[in-house]
Amino acid sequence: MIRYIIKRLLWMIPVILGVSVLIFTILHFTPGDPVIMILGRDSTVEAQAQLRASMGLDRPFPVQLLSYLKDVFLHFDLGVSYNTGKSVSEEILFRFPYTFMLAFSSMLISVLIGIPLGVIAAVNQNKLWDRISMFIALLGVSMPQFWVGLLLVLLFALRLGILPPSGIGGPQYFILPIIANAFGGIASMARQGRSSMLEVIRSDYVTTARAKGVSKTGTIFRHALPNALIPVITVAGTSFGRSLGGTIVIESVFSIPGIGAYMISGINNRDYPIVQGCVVFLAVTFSIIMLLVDLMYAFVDPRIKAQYVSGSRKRRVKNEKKDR
Amino acid sequence: MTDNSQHFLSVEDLYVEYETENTVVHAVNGVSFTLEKGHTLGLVGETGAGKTSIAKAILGILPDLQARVSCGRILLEGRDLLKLSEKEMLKIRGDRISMIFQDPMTALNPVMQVGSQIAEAVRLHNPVSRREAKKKAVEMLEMVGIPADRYHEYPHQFSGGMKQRVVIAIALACNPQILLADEPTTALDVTIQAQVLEMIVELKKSYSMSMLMITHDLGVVAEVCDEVAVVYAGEIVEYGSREDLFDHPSHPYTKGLFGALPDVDRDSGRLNPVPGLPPDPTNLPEGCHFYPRCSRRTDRCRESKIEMAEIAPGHLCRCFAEGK
Repeated sequence: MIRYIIKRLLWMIPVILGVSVLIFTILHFTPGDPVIMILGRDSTVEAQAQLRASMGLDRPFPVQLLSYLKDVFLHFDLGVSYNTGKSVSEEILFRFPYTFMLAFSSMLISVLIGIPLGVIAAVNQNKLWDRISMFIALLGVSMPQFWVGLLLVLLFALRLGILPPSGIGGPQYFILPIIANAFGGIASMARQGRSSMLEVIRSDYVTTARAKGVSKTGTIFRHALPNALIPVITVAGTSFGRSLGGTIVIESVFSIPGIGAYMISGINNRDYPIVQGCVVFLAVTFSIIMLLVDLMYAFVDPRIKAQYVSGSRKRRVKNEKKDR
Repeated sequence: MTDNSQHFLSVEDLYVEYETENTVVHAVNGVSFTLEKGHTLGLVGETGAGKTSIAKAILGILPDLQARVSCGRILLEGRDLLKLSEKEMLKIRGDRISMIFQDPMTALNPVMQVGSQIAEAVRLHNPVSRREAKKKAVEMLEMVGIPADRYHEYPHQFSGGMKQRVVIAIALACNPQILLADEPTTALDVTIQAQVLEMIVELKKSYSMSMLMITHDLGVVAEVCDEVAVVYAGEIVEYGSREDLFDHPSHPYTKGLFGALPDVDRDSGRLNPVPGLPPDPTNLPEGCHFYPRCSRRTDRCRESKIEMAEIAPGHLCRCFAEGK
């Protein structure tokens, strides 16, 4: 198992390298000159050249790329913002807690509400409860996040005045963004949960469990649910990994200084180091989350665990044979 | 056959229907039989004849959304199982009546240790501690020929025959009085079939259980059954002792089944299968269900349903041609 984890961590290096090269190259050849963005169109050519040289942008592309990769991989340095001159790494680390808080609690809420909704729907297939939970799920899928966010602000902040509309402060500032962000998650969890539960409750081992005399709730929670979890974990993990890179829409609607908002500002100002930094950061967090998801599979399903450890096991058996 | 209360298990006029969107599948159509203590009744018939539905109806584990018992009584020592509440049935399932399933590959929960799947059955019906249940489960494993140290392994680490042994261990964990064996050897290799069958027969004897052996294999019937009921299109078409049936097969369908068996003594070359296909259970033929495939049909056979008639003491047949 540990071998597997180490292997996966090592695999992250080429992934991040590839992402870094790609994003740097794409941004380099994107139209728009950061020097002009900073100095304005009516600045003198000399001033522009001077700034360009001081930012290192006059060097040939391969040299710039290599020096960027060197900074990222050897010094964990994502560069400095063109506009503010602040370190991108520091800024991301400063903003990460907000994004993490938002992403983690939304994921938690989607799991805690979405899975039970899906289970209820599957168990009462085609009955009233199924229709109700699938209606909620349909709403969640079809309503865009920003719109849910705005509706929530209208109701709770403007009409009722019980929650702040935007910004950061105490925990109450997080309530609306988390609800808005979790809404879609609840919906996809419920739908995924329902379909995988439906598949599992028809399987033979659930019949075996019933034949043993296990009660209906017992068959659902002890036998069916653990088997239905894998697709649900995939959905939860993917959306969590993605929102760790910043929930761009929600952060903009609620003016939360998270990574998504940071990336948007970078894009608007042609502040390439910010954009590159955010993308590389997203690649790292996403890879880590996906590794955790895979480890969770192994925890849930012994067949998958067997695949992870099979390599080392075969070797062990071979060694044992040699010993004899 | 009027007063069935003194029989151990008696099934009377059982009808099972499966409902899909707009069709009704008539799986079991008026099946009656009795099973005495210590006896083995074989239910023989083609795939789709309704044999499994009979067993599942006895145990009350038909899929509740689509299937229902539309008519009939199932008396266990005079008590109608169909009238019992779900809670009362939970006490009977796995404890007094248990079932072995057809496909061991899918009958075990893939994410649960095999030992705990046995221990679960023990704990459901006996007031024992976890440790005692585990001890009993280990005993059961050893009884079906699986070493105790495989208790903590998962179904994917077992071969098909081993899995079927585990399924048998689960079924016998609470010393049931009736064992419903639903084609327990069909999915196994021929060599393993013999082993597993022998084990079932021995355990049946040592536990002095009654058994309902569902099979399409006349060889299995010859080996284990005392009485045999031939099922065709959800009806029993012939019923009698094993000797009656093997020595004097009477219903044209039963004769057809024997005709489809290769006879090693007489090198007959081609087999004589029953011509045609089983009838569509959503649209059964009027009168005798076997009419379209029967070699001895007369116009009378189509007019009305044929009743079972005693052609020899204890040997019943549902056919005009044999009725007198």
